[in-house]
Amino acid sequence: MAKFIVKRIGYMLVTLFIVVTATFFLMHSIPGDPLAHMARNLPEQTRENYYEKYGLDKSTSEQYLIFMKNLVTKGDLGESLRYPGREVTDTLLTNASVSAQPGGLALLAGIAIGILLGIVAALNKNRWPDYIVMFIAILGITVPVFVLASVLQYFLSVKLMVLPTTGWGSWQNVVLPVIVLSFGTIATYARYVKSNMLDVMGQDYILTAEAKGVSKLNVVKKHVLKNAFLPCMTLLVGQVSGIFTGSFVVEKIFGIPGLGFYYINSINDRDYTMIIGTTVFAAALFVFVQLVVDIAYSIMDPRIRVK
Amino acid sequence: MKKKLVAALLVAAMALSLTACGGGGKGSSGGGGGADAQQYNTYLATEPSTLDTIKGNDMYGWEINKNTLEPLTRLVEKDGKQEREGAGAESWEPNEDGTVWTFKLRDNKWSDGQAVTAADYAYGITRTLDPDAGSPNSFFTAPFIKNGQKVVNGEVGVEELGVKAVDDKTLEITLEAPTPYFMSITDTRACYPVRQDIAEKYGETYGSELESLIFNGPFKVDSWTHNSEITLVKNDQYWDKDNVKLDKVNFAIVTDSNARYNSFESGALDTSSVGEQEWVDRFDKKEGVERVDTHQPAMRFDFFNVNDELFKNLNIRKAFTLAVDREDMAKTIYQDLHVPAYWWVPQAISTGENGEYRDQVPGPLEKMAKEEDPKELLLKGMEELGLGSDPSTINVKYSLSATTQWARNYGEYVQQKYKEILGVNIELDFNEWSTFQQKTNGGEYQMANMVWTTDYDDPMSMISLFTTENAGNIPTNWSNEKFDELIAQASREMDETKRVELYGQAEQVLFEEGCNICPLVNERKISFHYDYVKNLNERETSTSGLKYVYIEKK
Repeated sequence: MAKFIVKRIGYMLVTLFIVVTATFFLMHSIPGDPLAHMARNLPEQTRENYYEKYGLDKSTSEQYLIFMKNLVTKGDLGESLRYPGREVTDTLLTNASVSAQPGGLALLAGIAIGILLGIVAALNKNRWPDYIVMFIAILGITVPVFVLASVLQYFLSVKLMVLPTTGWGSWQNVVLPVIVLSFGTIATYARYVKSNMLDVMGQDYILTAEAKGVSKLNVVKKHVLKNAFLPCMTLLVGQVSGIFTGSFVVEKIFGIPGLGFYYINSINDRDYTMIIGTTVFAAALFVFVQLVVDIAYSIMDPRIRVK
Repeated sequence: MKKKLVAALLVAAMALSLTACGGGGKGSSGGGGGADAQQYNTYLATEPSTLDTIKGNDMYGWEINKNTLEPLTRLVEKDGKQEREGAGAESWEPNEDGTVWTFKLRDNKWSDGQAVTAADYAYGITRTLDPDAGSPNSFFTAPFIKNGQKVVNGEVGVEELGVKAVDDKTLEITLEAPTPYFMSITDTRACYPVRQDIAEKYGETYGSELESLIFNGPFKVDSWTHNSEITLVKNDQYWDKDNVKLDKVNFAIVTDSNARYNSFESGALDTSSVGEQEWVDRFDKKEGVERVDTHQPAMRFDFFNVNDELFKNLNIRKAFTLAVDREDMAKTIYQDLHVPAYWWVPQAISTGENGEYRDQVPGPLEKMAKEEDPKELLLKGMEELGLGSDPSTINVKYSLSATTQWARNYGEYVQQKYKEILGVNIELDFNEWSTFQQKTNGGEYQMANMVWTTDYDDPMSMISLFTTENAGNIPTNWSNEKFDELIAQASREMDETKRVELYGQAEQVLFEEGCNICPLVNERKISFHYDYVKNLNERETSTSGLKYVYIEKK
């Protein structure tokens, strides 16, 4: 097991190295530069002085070497070009912890409700509870978050005035984002759990269990659920890392100072250091969560013990 | 049993929502303070990049700077007119030939209790021009202050710059040449005071977090939650604190415009500018709100590449410029939010005591549009170029700096209109801003669309963009000796009326002999605020910020 983990960590580092390098050269290949956000043509000399200050006058490969040196030796991702004086690492950590609050709550709520609905639907296949759940699931997948967010904001904040429209800092600010963010998760899990359960219930070992005279409740509890949940863990990889990286749209509508903002805007602003920072962060989270899930898999399911 | 449970849950839910009600959204007008609480809830559409006046270049940081730092002077609104008022400076005086300006500073304190000195202003001005600082604001002052451009170019050291703190209360600025509108530059960010000890202590992080900031304006920043909120409180060390009424200002950072309208509607924001007609209509009907239409010193325009095979011909450029039906465009495309523009120097720009420039000089295109026929001009130009007489053989690439749905609709409109009026074919070329900038700067375009906002309150800021020297700003590659000479003359002319005349002549030459730009609309901002907010500035070029604003609830 220890050997397996060490090997996986090695792979992780290689993956991250490739991601960093590819991102670095890709982002430098898109036209434009960090001065573009100023939306104005600056005089030549003003530009040159700016480039020199931030080392942008050097060649891309030279910049890459400097960046890699700082990253490897000091773990330093540099300073944002769009927000001078702010360390990328600080921005990532502060904003990710903000994103994680509505994101985490929404994921927990989404999974709990989604799984519950999925079970209900599977056990009542082709009867009305199943239809209702699937209807909710389809809504959850098809209604875009910005529509849901705007509608809820309009009715609950503007019309009924029970919740604040935007802002951050009190629990009321979290309510609407959590509802909006969990909607998709509920839908995904409901469908996924339902189809997995139906799949498992058709397996031979369930028939065996039933033939042995195990009660229906115990069949579901001991055999169906455990096996139906396993594939759900794969789904979790993307979602867990997703709660830290935040949702651009939802955060924008509700004015949450999360990380989602930086994923989109750093690219538009050509904030090179921030682009690399956000990408490395997402990639690192993703591979890390995947490692954890793989370990969990091998513990829970002897069939797919990784060699 | 089941019914009882449901009932209990319902009661609980109602109780919860009631508490939510009582708590009110943070900063909502219903919840906060008594009837005459001097608190103003406004917003920024984006997080400021920094609050350092040397590195910061966006209007969001500027909004905070204006209210928390004291420039030498401020342009203040009084009875619908603008007046330049002494702020950090008590008085100022040019020498005889207008090349040396001496500012007497008043007694003012920084928020840490230290006296504000001439050295603070001198450092701010000097540091902005220092190439080491890499400031994007150096263009404001570089052309005017003695050796400014040379310092920026790294040709001479900062000690050669014409800025000197004679003593604690006297600041002396020497100019390259007499600059009649120099006072209009004294309230730009490039002339803001900066405390050298603080700036050097924090180095690169100066201005990025609240801890590194210091204030000497009407307000000071009380809290700064990135991407969420900036709050200001009244600065009790400020020299003119008796005239500052507001105790607190909340700037919520709201990037989503619908969220902003919703916040205004619910009363969480006291003001909002509105860019969509449907919301304008809605707020027009809302009770207790006032609407303010402000002309912006900003132009939306097309520009032509004079080196292009087709647009090297003046008649063709004129044809394309005059073919635009500006009234129709303002109505169809902008739903009358913006104003049809027959000029280059936008409304809202004024010239000292003479008031708005556009009230003094009529837009040159108005007359041209009446007298000349675009189709005839096109045919004449085609003949001169030997392109025959069939407009449908002309294909023009029209570059836009956005890829949004709006840009696509707009592009189609332009395409259709040119086809209708001139019979030429327009090929649309949508770009992201960065790509657009690279293309146009590199001269790889025929005709392109852009917005330009003035830097300081004088027609010079806009008109001088087309001198041979400044040609890089809007890269049309046009150059005209007569125009250059008129601008050079205007820049020396101390008499306001004569200067306005020279600007007028230059603008005339720009359209008659250049027509390298095709103005489309003059931007206008429509904003709403609740009527209990008094004394808000109504002109975009005013720099008094929120200093004189107050709240008066019945």
